[in-house]
Amino acid sequence: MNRVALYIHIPFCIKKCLYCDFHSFRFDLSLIHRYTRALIKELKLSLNTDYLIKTIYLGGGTPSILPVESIEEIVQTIYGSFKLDDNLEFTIEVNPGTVDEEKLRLYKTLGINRISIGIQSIEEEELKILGRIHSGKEALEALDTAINVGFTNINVDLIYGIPNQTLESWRYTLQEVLRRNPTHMSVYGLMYEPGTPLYKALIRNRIKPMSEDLEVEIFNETQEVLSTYGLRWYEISNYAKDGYECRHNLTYWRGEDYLGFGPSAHSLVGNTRYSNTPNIKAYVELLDRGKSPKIWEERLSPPERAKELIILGLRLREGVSLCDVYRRTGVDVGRIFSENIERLISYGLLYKKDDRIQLTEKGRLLGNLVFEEFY
Amino acid sequence: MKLGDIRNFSIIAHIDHGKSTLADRFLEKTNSMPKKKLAEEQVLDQMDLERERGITIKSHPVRMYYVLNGREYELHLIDTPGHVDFSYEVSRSLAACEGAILVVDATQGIEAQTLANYNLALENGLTLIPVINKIDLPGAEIERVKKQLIDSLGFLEDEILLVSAKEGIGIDELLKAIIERIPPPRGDTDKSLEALIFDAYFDLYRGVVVYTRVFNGVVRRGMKIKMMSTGAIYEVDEVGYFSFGLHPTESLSAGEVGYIIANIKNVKDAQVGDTITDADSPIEKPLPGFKRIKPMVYCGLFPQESNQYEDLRESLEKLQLNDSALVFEPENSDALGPGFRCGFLGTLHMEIVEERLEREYGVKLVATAPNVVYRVYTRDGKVLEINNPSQFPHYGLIEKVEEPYVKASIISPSEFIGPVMELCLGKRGTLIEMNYIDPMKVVFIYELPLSEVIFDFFDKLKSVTRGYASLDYEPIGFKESDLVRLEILVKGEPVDALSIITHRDEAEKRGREIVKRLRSLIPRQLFEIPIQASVNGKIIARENIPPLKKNVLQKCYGGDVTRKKKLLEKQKEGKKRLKQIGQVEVPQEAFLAILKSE
Repeated sequence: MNRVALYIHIPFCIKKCLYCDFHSFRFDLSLIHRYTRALIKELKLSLNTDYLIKTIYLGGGTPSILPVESIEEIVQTIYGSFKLDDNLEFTIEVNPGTVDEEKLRLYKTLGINRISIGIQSIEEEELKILGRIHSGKEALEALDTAINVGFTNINVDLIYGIPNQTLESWRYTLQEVLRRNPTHMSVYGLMYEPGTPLYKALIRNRIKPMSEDLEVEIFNETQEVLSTYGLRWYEISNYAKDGYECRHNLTYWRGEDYLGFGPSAHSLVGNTRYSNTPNIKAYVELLDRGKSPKIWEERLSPPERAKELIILGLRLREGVSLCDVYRRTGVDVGRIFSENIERLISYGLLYKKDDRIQLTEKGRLLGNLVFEEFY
Repeated sequence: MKLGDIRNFSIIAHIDHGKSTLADRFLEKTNSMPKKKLAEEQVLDQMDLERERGITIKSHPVRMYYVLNGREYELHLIDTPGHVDFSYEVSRSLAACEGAILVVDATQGIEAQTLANYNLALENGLTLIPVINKIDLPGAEIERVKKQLIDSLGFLEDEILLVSAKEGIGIDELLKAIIERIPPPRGDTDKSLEALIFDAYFDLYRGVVVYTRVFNGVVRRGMKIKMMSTGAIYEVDEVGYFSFGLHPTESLSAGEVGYIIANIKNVKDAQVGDTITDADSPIEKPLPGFKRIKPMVYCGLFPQESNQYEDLRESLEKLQLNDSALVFEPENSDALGPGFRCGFLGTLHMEIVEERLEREYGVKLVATAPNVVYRVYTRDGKVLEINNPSQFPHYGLIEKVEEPYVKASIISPSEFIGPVMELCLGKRGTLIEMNYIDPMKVVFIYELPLSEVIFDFFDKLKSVTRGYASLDYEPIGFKESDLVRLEILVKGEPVDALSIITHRDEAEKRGREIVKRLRSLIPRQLFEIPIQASVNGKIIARENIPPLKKNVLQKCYGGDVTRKKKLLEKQKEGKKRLKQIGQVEVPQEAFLAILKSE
């Protein structure tokens, strides 16, 4: 039986954040209903009892803006179409301002056992620059509600490196969140992605990016503070209490199989990666006609697959076992890249123990220099 | 053809004064142009580079026939190169003629190359026909330019012809003047062969094609000829004339212009300015004016990828077959690895060679900043010719240093006298003469170090005169200068390819500029990189490149992998263009950064 992770994409937002370069559409109830129908069709088309579902992830977009009935329908379809692991991890991403106690209770009764809350910051000024729709207070309330409803596996997303953010304001956000004792945190440095309004503001000199020195200081302090709360880093931007690492996301980083549903969702099965059309209209129409929305597929050659296993695996604290890569791809990466690995070790970016390579402390912040070596 | 029916002439002009367009009109008027060529412009400039840059690099002779008063004349037009780098070639092309048309733009008047070409033509004893071109343009100042020609160059008013090459105005009159005013060649076909080489090119299948003007005697197929500068003897395979390609004939006689093919394998054996004679009955003395070409400007050329070293060598060898002015020798740079030290006639010649290597031979290059040849007198009585700053001796060993100087003519509107003089002073120039061409236009004669002229002088001159000044120069030999080597250290290591020779008074300023520029050009790396400039072992400028602290993809989940992989690939591609110097990766622009100044 093939153990897989299931990703369901909900590409709707009330308003797109200014830093976001993902595909999403404005909230539109009639489109959401058509979309839910199409999504259910896609799930049914893939009905396969050979798969054992180990994790489900409802991501977006903003899954929490879906009417609860739609969520229920989707979840019931999954349950009816696939076999589930006893130890299922089931996450939903929620945005403050789109959830209340009732919704969260229903999620719980549906079997959803992990909540990921996009708080980002609790400073109003910073939320405004990011273009978030909620206040800092609402963000903390959403977190409190999730705790009160009884969720015991909660992730909080935070962003640092926001223009005008200071070490003090960051500490404040961090403290307010940590006081509530989440089991998992994703802490991202702000990226200026080409095409986003924030990127445009940057190149037009309308905002001043945070200095690299401060970013590094924040990164280092954050890691220290989180560890005192038992949150250990396990991926470049992710921290968790022992046993609360996100198993769904670990699937990506370990190069294991996943199935994606919804527009622009990607899947990886063995050496084959494929994706759906990013166009929501095309997606809905194809499925209305009973056709697959898949529009792209690539077969990874063994060397290509091996490189991927390395650059993804190196994001993790556990790093990559070169033997494991060899066993899975037949490519002797230890030999092919021996010089590169030696060089990276001499630069202090990489650490090697037995057959396992891992990023060093310094390497975590300079990961791209490491990943590049394997191209 | 009788000698009396032949005319050999050139067209000389400042750049863009309409030389090539006038040549086009002559070809049309004399029906010399093949039909398919009619639609093109500047038909004689065949190289892509010549057309793109709008300049002539090689000589292009062409034979035309023209009937005047019932008599047919054979006209040989020799289109000469149009840049100061090639002034020796121009002078030899002119030596092949009896006359020249001096073209001046009616909207511009006399410019620096007008003067330089005028002087070259006079030195060669040519009859000159002054022509004012572009008289159809609204900005034409015919009277003013006429006066310049009369007052500054000594022409008579009724000698001057008015032409618009573009509109075809005055072309017949000009052709008539060529026949009437330019003397026919003189020569004796019964004498021993005496022929001038004024250009040559290498043909893959036929060997070197020698461009020649026969002064005495006859050259024909099967004859043994001798190159007087080398004594080498060849048997003639073919002779002929040019008219959009080679047209074989029985012979070339005294007075005629044409080509010789004689199984010559390298253009070096057919040097421009050399005299060809009959091997069996050689003449005693060669024609005057022959000079061995000496490179004026050097730079290092290195392959971007070290595995292209052999390709670069082969490409240089092939180019050299066709370009006797190009010299090169292997050079091993600590910073850039194996490559070649190459010598050129000037910076244009250098750019052309670099461009042809990349374009025609597909070799990706890293070029160092150009420099001149320095003459270093050492304490122990030796004289060294240094064409590479990295070989400049230690300052403790130097007695004195000399550098090449040029005599530069600068023509500028008189309103910019101040700025021009200030610029030349800053470039260590000495004013020799200043004359008014007319109340609005001045000609300066300056002596300047060649190194300053190739550095950024022309750009600066153009900018202080809002584009109006023109410049021409000729070498006048070496003069003593207080020169030092400015070394650049990257992370404590001197980088040979970044060192320059500069005047002591300029060293600190240049040093500061260079380290500042390098600071912005060298990407941050894992460690701090101090960039220092030093003279005679003393640090005179320093900048630090702080270390790179953060460069990592923050997010990478299922749907991102493909996109993020592309991003990394792109970043990696960019790095390939960097040169590794010690631990530091340096982009190629850095090696040219030392060329510019603030």
